Amino acid sequence: MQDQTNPFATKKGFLQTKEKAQKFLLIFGTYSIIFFTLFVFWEILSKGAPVLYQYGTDFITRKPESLEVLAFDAGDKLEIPKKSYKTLKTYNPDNNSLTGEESFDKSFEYTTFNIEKGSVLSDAYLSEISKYNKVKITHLYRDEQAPVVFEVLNNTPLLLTPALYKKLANSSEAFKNLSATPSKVSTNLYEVTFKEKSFYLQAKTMALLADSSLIYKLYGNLTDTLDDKPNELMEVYIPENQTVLLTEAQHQGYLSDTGTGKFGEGKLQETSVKKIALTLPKGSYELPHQLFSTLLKNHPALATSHQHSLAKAPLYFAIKSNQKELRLPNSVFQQLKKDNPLLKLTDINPLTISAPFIRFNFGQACQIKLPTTDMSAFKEANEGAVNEYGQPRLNILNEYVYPYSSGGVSGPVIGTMLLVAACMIIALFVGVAAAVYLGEYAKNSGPLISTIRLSMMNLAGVPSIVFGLFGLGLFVSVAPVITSAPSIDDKFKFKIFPALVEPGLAEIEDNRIAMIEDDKNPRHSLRAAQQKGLESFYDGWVYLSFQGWGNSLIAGAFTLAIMVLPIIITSSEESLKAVPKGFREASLALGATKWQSIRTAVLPYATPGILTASVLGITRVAGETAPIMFTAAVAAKSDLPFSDLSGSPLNQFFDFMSQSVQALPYHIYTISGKLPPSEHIKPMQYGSVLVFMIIVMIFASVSIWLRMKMRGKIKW
Amino acid sequence: METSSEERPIIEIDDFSFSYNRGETDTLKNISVSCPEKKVTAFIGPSGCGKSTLLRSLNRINDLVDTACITNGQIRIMGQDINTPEVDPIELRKNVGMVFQKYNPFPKSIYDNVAYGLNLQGKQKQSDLDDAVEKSLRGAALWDEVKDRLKDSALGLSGGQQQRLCIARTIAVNPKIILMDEPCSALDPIATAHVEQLINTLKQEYTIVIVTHSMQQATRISDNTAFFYLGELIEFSPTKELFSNPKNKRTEDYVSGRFG
Amino acid sequence: MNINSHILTPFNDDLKELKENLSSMLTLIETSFNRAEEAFVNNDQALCDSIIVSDEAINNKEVVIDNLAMDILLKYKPVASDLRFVVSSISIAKSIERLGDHLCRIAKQIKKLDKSVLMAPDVEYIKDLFSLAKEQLAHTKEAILTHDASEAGECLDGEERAKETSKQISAIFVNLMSQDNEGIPNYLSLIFIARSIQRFSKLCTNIAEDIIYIETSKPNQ
Repeated sequence: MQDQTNPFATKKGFLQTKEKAQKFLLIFGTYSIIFFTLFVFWEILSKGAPVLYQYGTDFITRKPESLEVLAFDAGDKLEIPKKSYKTLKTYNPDNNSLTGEESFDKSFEYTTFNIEKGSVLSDAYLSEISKYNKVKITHLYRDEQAPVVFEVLNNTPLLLTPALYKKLANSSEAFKNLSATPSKVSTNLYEVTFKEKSFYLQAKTMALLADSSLIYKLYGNLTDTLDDKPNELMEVYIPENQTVLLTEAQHQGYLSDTGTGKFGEGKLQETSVKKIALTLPKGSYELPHQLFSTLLKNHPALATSHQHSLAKAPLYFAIKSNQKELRLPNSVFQQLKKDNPLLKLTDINPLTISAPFIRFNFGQACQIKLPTTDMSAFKEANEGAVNEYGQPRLNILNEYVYPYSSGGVSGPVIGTMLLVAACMIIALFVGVAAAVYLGEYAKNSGPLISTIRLSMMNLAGVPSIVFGLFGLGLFVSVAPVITSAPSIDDKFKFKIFPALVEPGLAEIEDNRIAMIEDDKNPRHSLRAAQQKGLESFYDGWVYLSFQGWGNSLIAGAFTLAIMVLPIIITSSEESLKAVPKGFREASLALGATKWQSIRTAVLPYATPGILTASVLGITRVAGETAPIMFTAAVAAKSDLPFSDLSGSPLNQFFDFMSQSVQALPYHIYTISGKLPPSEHIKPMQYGSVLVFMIIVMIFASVSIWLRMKMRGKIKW
Repeated sequence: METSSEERPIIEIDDFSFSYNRGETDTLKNISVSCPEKKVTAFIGPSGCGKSTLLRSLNRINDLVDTACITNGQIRIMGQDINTPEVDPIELRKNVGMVFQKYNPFPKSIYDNVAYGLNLQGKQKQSDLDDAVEKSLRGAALWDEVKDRLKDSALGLSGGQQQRLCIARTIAVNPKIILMDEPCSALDPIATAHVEQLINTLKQEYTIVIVTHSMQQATRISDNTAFFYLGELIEFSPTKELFSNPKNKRTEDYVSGRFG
Repeated sequence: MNINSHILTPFNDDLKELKENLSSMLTLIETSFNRAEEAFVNNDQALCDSIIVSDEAINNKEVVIDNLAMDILLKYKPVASDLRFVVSSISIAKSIERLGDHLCRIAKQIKKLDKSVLMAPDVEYIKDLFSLAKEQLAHTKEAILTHDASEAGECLDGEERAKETSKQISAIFVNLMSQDNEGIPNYLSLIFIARSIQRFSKLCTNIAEDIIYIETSKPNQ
């Protein structure tokens, strides 16, 4: 008989339906998350991929630059370096008016030379040399009396003070031979007494009086009022009786004022100053630097052509280079030689360098866009080029600059990678050590350890901007530095040991160090130095100074490390707990000390878990903007972090760590939030975001791959 | 102090009391046992009677527990009281090795497992390590089975081989005494037989103290047996006597399976 | 039975020792048996005495075998053929000990014999019995040494014949006794000797059965 019922059949009823519904809900939730994620990815991918495709690897290798859009007339035989031509094609793929391309080699005349010891150059010329050669320049000392050559462009009449004229005549034959006539210049000065009072004056009068020695308190905004309504009355408060000398112009303005602040006419005081009048003919002159800068400072009307610095005297320097000889373009070399009489050159030889160029025609007026560097190269290549009619070949009609709309993201990418790497090194080191201590040594002993654990868990929930402010307050402002040139401010510092090496001239100037080594009254000198605007001082001692690390890679790395520390510590502790107790016991039973046992029998097997924790850490850290905004990131930086490091390797490392960097999240914030929107900047935004996502995914994949490799080796 | 033979005892447990909770209750009460040199001494008894605790006190691995303390008596190994501050537990453990119930070779190669103890003591010459590894593996009757795959992972061996590997690892540091805490309880009978055969050869060179649940194992391999119950030593005699003619009624009840 | 394949060598050694003890015990029996035969043929009193003395050694051997077997059972908890061997060794030892006792009895009866009135045909009868028993003993010894069930089987086959022959001889002697009144004590001795020899054979058969049991685990054939 086959009427056996199946004792295990499914029972029908409400429970079954509920079960099915719950299962469906879970599936729906999971897949909808995947769906939305894919949707967001797709949006970014579809908008960003064309950008990357169009710009190619340039996007990754170039720094962020501004975009220049140039409209110009038709022209032919325009020249552009080959590299920039490629960029031209990349940025202007639809431009059809480009015809007649032919490539040729443009030759540039260079001169090669060597500089002997004891030469003197001004700073600007040294940087020209650095631009064209790889050199290391050490500044030795400046000489105020070193002669400089400069060119006067027009015949200019001058009124010199007798003292200045005497000095000029003594030092230069050319000056001595000029016909100079003594004259008197009288200036009228009016003495006005102001009483302590509150009154009203017109804005334009206030602008005039601002240059005098009057002490007053002005209510309101002078510049704005001056722009909108110069005749409007503003309230002024004079705190005490004052007698002030006003110039003619000021006096006139004061008298014509319609407000309530009149104290009557001023007393005329005629002063006449003896001056010497002469006309300085066009030509080139040689003067000691001190005189030169005094002359130019006092007579801004004198038009000259030179590259010397008025403030800094020419420099005795030492130059070191791996190249056999230095080279400069001919024009630069000529000016270098002309303007610096104390420059000792040897082995001067001509050199012809050719670079590949493209010559092309523009059939009609059009608009092209290029990144700034390429645009400048283009303009420079066609500078002064004229066609057969004497007209310039490159006829620029219109020019726009869009900041941050071209170039690439190389700077931010490198900056982000450096930040993440430095942060993870710090975080892993500190975090794993803490996890080992908490998990192996401290276990559950006492209220202190429980408090530490509790605070660690709370730290994970702190908003990231709080970390940024924390980093700002701690690392940027009061972190300790061991230095021989501490900053002048009031931060806590104390001496450690005498300094071995004095800072070099370049350092003193770059970091604005006040040398107060043998000073009897250091506090006074320090205050004076601070007023002059100097930032640090050197007094022969190495200090431990709590002056902060400034806006730097290391401050950012530490801030990010603290942010990611709770994740690392908790996950590392879990991984350590997951290692079977038997390993520790076996290891101890073989005669290992506690640390040996942890190092050889526990940590290696906890490593996959720790690596996974670092994945989470990296993905969190790479995307954070707020902490690095205050501590490390800058919007624009001209060089990559690796360039321009000098000194011993230790010094180089410190320099490297103390520079600020560009960072990708911050870069995205800058180009999305802080700049005006335009059609040119949108592709950069999407491109940057796509690159950013790809980088984060690469980081995650590398960690996952590492973890899989390790897990394969050590299953238990 | 009960001794059961005329040989010089290498381990003397003298009126030893031990507690796991800072002295509130004693897990071991006034134990006095002597283990002669180069003989196998077995500790038997029902679960929770303290035999493992006593074993672990011999190499001071109970130090890992914070609340453990000795409440009375001494343990002397080679004449030296091991619980004084002058004794370094690390040095002690190099002379008193331990094999655990759950075999736990490290997830390293067979070679690295055996050389682990030697590597702890500093960088060794490769040839010295090779010799020591071969000697230990031969001593553990494992050499012929693994000599061609020394660099393979230790976890690829069978259970019995892994336990013998752990024994090889222990004898690589040349201890005088080997403590075994139920070494065969996780093994199948064939593997158990291999390990027991190994113990028979090992006792020519090392003193062995073994805790075991299996009375047959005690009869097969041990020379002297101590029976523990609820933290106290009930009887300590040569094995043959204890099992065929026990002096204490509780011993007889336990070995014949009447309780426990 | 594989003695040599145990992982624990002491186990191997102990089983081997047990076996050797059994065969050495049987060797002692063999020696005594040959002496008994010779003593009967030559009516040698000294030999009879030596048989009685060496029985003590045989008894001691039984104690040794018993202790050893107990030890093995305790330590190794043998199973299967090992268990059958050890348990049967105890009963085999006991049987061998009784073999010894019978030889003692034979020796005592031989001493009582009056050789002068012994008739040649009667001696022949007993000698036949001795030969049959010797065959049995030889099979048994072979079986113990080699643990060959077929040898043991031969022993069992010979048993019937020995029993028959013994019965016949006893009947003849009883007949002769009724005819010859003076020779009764001698004939009685002869009958006792015959019976002891027959019991001797039976014991050998028992031993053979034990051996078959060890080999085949069947209690009786």
